[in-house]
Amino acid sequence: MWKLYILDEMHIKIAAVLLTCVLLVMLGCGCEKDSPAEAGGEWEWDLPSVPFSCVRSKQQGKPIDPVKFAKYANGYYLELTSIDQATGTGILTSDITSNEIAGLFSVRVDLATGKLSVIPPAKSEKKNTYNPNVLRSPSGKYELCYYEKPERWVAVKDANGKRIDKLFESEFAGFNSMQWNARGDCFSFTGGMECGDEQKSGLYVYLLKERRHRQVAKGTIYKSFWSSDGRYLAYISPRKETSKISANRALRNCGQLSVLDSNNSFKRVTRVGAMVSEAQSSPDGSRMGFIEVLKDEYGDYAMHAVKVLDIESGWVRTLVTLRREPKFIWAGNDSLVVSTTDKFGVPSISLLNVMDSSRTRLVTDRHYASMEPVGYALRCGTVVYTANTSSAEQTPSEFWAVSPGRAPVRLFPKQSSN
Amino acid sequence: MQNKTWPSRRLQLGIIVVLAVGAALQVFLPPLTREGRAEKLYNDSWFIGRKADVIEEIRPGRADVAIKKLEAALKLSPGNSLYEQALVLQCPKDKLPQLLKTHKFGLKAKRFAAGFALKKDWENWQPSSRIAVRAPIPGMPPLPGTPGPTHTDPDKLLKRLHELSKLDPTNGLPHYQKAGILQRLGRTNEALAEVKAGNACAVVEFYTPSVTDTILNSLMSSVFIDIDFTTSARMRDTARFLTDTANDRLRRGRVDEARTILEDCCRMGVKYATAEPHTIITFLVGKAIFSIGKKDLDPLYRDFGMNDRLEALKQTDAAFERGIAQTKRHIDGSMDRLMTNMLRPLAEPFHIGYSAGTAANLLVLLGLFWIPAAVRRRGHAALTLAPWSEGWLARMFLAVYIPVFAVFLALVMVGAGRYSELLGEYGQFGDTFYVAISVLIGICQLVLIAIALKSLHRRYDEQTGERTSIFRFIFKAPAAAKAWTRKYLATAMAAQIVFLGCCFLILTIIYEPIVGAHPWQIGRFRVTSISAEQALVRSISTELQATGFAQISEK
Repeated sequence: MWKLYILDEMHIKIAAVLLTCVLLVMLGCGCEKDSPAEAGGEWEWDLPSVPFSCVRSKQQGKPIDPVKFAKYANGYYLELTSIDQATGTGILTSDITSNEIAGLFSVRVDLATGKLSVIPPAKSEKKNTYNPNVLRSPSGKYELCYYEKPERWVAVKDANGKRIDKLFESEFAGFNSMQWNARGDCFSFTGGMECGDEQKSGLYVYLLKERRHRQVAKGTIYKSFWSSDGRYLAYISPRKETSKISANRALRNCGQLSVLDSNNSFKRVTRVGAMVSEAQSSPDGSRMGFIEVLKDEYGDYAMHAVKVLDIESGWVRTLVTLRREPKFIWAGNDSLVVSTTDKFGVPSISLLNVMDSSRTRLVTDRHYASMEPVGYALRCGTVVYTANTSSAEQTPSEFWAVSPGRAPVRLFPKQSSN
Repeated sequence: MQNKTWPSRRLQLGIIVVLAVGAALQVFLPPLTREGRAEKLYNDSWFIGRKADVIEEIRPGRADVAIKKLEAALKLSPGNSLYEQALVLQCPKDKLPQLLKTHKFGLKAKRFAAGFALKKDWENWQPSSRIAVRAPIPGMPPLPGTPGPTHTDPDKLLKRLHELSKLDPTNGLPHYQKAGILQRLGRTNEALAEVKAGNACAVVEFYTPSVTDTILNSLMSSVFIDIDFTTSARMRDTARFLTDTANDRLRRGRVDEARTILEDCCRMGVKYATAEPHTIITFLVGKAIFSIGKKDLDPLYRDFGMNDRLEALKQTDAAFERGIAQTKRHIDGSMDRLMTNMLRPLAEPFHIGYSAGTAANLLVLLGLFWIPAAVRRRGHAALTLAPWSEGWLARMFLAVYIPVFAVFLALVMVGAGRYSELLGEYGQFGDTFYVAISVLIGICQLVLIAIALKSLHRRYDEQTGERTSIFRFIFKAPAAAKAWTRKYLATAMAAQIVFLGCCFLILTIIYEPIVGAHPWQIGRFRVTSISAEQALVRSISTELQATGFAQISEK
């Protein structure tokens, strides 16, 4: 009664179909969803943005009443946009949008005397200066125009608007940080930012003379910038050490500083540091100032050193080492203006000589939580800095100016708020 | 002699029909118990009430209908605090005082009503990330958008917060909210004291009803349960106020005071990150607050050689970082859940129809096997469905085959009727698995039918020595086909049973570890079960609270 039917070909086929189905289902359920590869950027864990009192946006074409502008210029959200070294004046600019007014507001400040004068927006802003989709070369001979359709791409155009070349984002798996060099003969950008494409990750330059691009560095690039004279292209890229301490998100964009020489086919001139967080080129382009994060007595990366690299010779000099993160700008080619904070949190602004590491303290003020140098007028040796009583990001800054041997002067706002 | 089979075809059909009807009734019929009916009313009220703002375009909010359902649920299950809180949540603010008078709510609902009502007044404060507003510069008008006079008198608000903290003494949230107001009024010492008092409370709990995990299981959970960004932004303001105050003390040389204030800030961050109900949003806010405090506390510890405290701070920071990595992975897998939760109300009718189609497919399968037998009987060729000759073995075979098929049918109907809940409960895995299984079942059934028929047809042709079409075989086959028909029908039936057995095995063994429950447990979503998000944040919270910093002495 319990006859067993001998399996023939048909039975085997049926069994095979069933087993395949079962296996497919098991595989489909067993596979974990791949987590998306980390793109080069960091996941922002901050809160959603809270409405600002002043929205930073630039709009063109609306009539602007300079008088109304002046009323709103009480020092909030100003930026030092330029310093005229010849005249020793600085331009403070604010972007304000409200129901009544929109556009730029600028004020010229004489850094020697502190005298202010309002600049009507029509004069303070060049025609068609600001278009978020256009990046003009310093000489004005070329421009990069961004487009979104059908995919993100950039058109390289000459001053007459004639297109010279096209660069598509897909070719580079995402491009970012486009920057002209000072000479205006080439621009750089980083690629491979999307989908973590390792093949396309790197630093690229586009040479206008040759009308082609080339990859000058491979791998993840945290930051890149040109030297002031446009000759050197520097970038910060990760070292193996960075990945080990990636749990400390504050150090995730720190790496080694490399410098490439555009006069020598972008060959690497030098590579310094392990945990460089910031770097700036000197005015003549021959040196690089940078901040490196070092290990402290506890073995943690919690010390900051301000260093200078001389590109030609390759020497590196440490100017100052401190716990709390400093800020600096160049004051000529031989000095840095550095803001430091002691262990009691008292900020100071000092001049550091690159050659002998000597330090000249310009101002110390325990009334403020932080001070940050934003400009240096070479003619009068005046340092412009911002001062804040709060560490919050959107608190208004006060603009001050100080020169060696003279008391600091508040530039803006003019009257005390106390 | 006509062979009679047992169970008869009528009985087989009857069983199938009864089971199908039973499954359909389970979908459409309300629960039989009072608790079950109350739970259904509560669940239904969620997506048609005032809090359905996010999906208002899909189904406009009808708070009155939601309120009626909740009142009916409370009649069926009086004193249920979950339903009471949901009723408070759905009630328009202007009718809330009347509601509190006419309904006798329990303490939890009263507390929630008080906190929820305060929240509405809190919204009248302009959210801003700036600290205390400076004295205006003489001659200058305020900036456009600068917070002006508030709609709510701050002293009245403080008084109400004070009453709330007395009503709810174990909750730190009212103290933090008071600190935020006091800080903006420039009453620094009082604000610091309130932060300390908030940190001393056992928990931080938001004034929102405990909600089901189906709704929580998405990034937008805070939208649904009213943990608003305004409160979170103000908490960040309070954190910055604390660090600014601490740094000010430090610059004056008062190191211990600065340290204490910064530690309070970090503790507030830990407390907020572990607030009830556990959501990713509150965890992230807590992390942001902790980071604000840590930025200044860490160098202070190092500069003044406070090694033990530094070590504890680092442990807590590492725990936060691990939590962030975990939440990031969770969020990456959760984006789809957001959409499925929002589309949940639309999904159900479609999937009920889909399930009905699957059931009909099974019936067609059975019918196809019956057709040859029925035709042959008409042609006086007795052929039963039993693969072997009549007898107890044939009856046994049918007794096994039909019930297995019927159970599977019932499972399909039950699961399909809860398809939308399945999506909400178990997200993409449940969705993918369920659809894959259903499609596979359908395809395999059709394949088996085709194989069996083709095999029968081929053998028939071999027997008759002529090539016939499949339709001729089905409708005109003589009794001589009986012998091989038995064999290959048996093969097809046996294959069906094996396949069903495998499906059952998969459903029981593999489904559970992936989805977290057996298929027959997946029913209406449970109000008390823990969602993946809550479980994740709860585990992170446990780790945070166990780190050294949370335990560290203030002295």
